[in-house]
Amino acid sequence: MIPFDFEYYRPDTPEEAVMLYDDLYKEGKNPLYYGGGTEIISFSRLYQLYPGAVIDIKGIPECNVLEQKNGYLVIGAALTLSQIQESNIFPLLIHCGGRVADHTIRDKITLGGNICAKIPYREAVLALLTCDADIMIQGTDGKKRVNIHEVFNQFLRINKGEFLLQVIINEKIARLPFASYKTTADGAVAYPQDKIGYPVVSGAGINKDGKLRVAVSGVCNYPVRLAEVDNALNDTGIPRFERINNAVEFFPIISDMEGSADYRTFVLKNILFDMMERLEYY
Amino acid sequence: MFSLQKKEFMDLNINGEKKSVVIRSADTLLDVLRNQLGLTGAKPSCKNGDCGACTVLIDGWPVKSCLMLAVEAVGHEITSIEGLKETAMQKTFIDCFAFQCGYCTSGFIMNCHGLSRIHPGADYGIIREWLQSNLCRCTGYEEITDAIKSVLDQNAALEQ
Ligand SMILES: Cc1cc2nc3c(=O)[nH]c(=O)nc-3n(C[C@H](O)[C@H](O)[C@H](O)COP(=O)(O)OP(=O)(O)OC[C@H]3O[C@@H](n4cnc5c(N)ncnc54)[C@H](O)[C@@H]3O)c2cc1C
Ligand code: FES
Ligand code: FES
Repeated sequence: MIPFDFEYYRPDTPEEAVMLYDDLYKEGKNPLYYGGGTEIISFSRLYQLYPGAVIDIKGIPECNVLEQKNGYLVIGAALTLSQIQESNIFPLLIHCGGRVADHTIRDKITLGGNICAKIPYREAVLALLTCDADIMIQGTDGKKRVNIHEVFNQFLRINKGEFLLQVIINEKIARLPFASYKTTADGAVAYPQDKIGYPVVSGAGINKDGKLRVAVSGVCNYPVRLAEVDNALNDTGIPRFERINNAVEFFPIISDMEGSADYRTFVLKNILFDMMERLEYY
Repeated sequence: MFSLQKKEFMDLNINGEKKSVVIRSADTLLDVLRNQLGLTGAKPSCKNGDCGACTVLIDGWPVKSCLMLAVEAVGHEITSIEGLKETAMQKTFIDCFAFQCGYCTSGFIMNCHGLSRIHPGADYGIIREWLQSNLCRCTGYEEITDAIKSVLDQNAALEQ
């Protein structure tokens, strides 16, 4: 049970949503945009979050689009990870989003909610970082389209009151060969639960024009793609092992219950090696 | 714009019937089903999305009702285990001995029933992926997998 009350709103347009946020904020109600609500409900139940109002974006048509338009894929922020998976529209996102939590929860978790969540892993973000996705943001002064690298640094840095409307990906990049991995701690309870859990390392890579691009999660406290890592991996003048050793140096690798920094480094190196093989990148 | 300020009467479409209930905006669907409607088939356990004991169908899709607000379900078709009447999945769970204590069973059946409708031709990979959503602490998953396969086979045979 959530031990406090909040107001629930389901606006019909993006403009209505941001105006409502503004009003509720001025009234001191600490509003939150609401996607699948899985994190908001879990955290509120534990009193780690106490919104006075939630603004459910699932009634906004722009947040529910899933289309191919002028060479781009447009994916609404309110689509669930299962809806994206069933659509088969963006294979790398299907892989990265398709290993978040479990199938039933993915019927509820939205793309926007996974990108904006507090949880460190946010695995759907990996596909967007490797493919240089654009993000459509709605604010009181209208919509703006920006590249993910301009606004995603550890978390999505958008202004108070703005929300994520859509994600836009170049179709050609979305169709490139990819490699995608998730390693969980060996906490297997029983078949078929052995794949479920938070990642020790979750990784995604593509080979674009002969250059490797890699994004990882689980390794640090946030999903990340670093230019230094891509450069080190693409430094073809030196042997593969050395490139991988150089690349992992750039990550501030964490130790926690899921795995020590040493174990994570070991897993990450293996993943990078395998990624190079699978993407025929030597 | 649809809204719910703290507490109001709302209509829920549950198991094919319209029920008017008082919903607090912060109530989870699980709590409303059990405490307001007396539908105790959806079981509370982790209340954190981990176990699947609380699974119901929303417009045919399995959802963990502990991670859904009741107000979100307004305007959607909710099916709980009480809404399944003599379905092939229920019968086959018995035939395949797919449960022991039964606490997880309604959640499993809802998930498996949803699977059989959404993916009537599901292969082993899909079955395995969907089964990852529910935990059983007593029995083996093999019997549950057998039950799903049996229902899918029965449905395929009926279609031929
Ligand atoms: C049992 C369990 C296991 C999980 N395992 C994993 C895992 O292994 N890997 C992983 O990556 N995730 C995992 N998750 C998912 C993660 O923890 C979050 O619960 C989920 O990503 C939140 O998505 P949501 O749509 O429910 O967001 P919500 O709960 O609705 O919102 C989360 C946050 O994002 C904000 N928000 C939502 N939508 C928008 C938007 N469009 N614009 C701006 N802000 C927005 C909200 O205000 C809130 O702060 C797991 C979740 C559960 C319950
Ligand atoms: S009680 Fe809902 S998933 Fe465990
Ligand atoms: S039969 Fe007892 S928990 Fe599944």
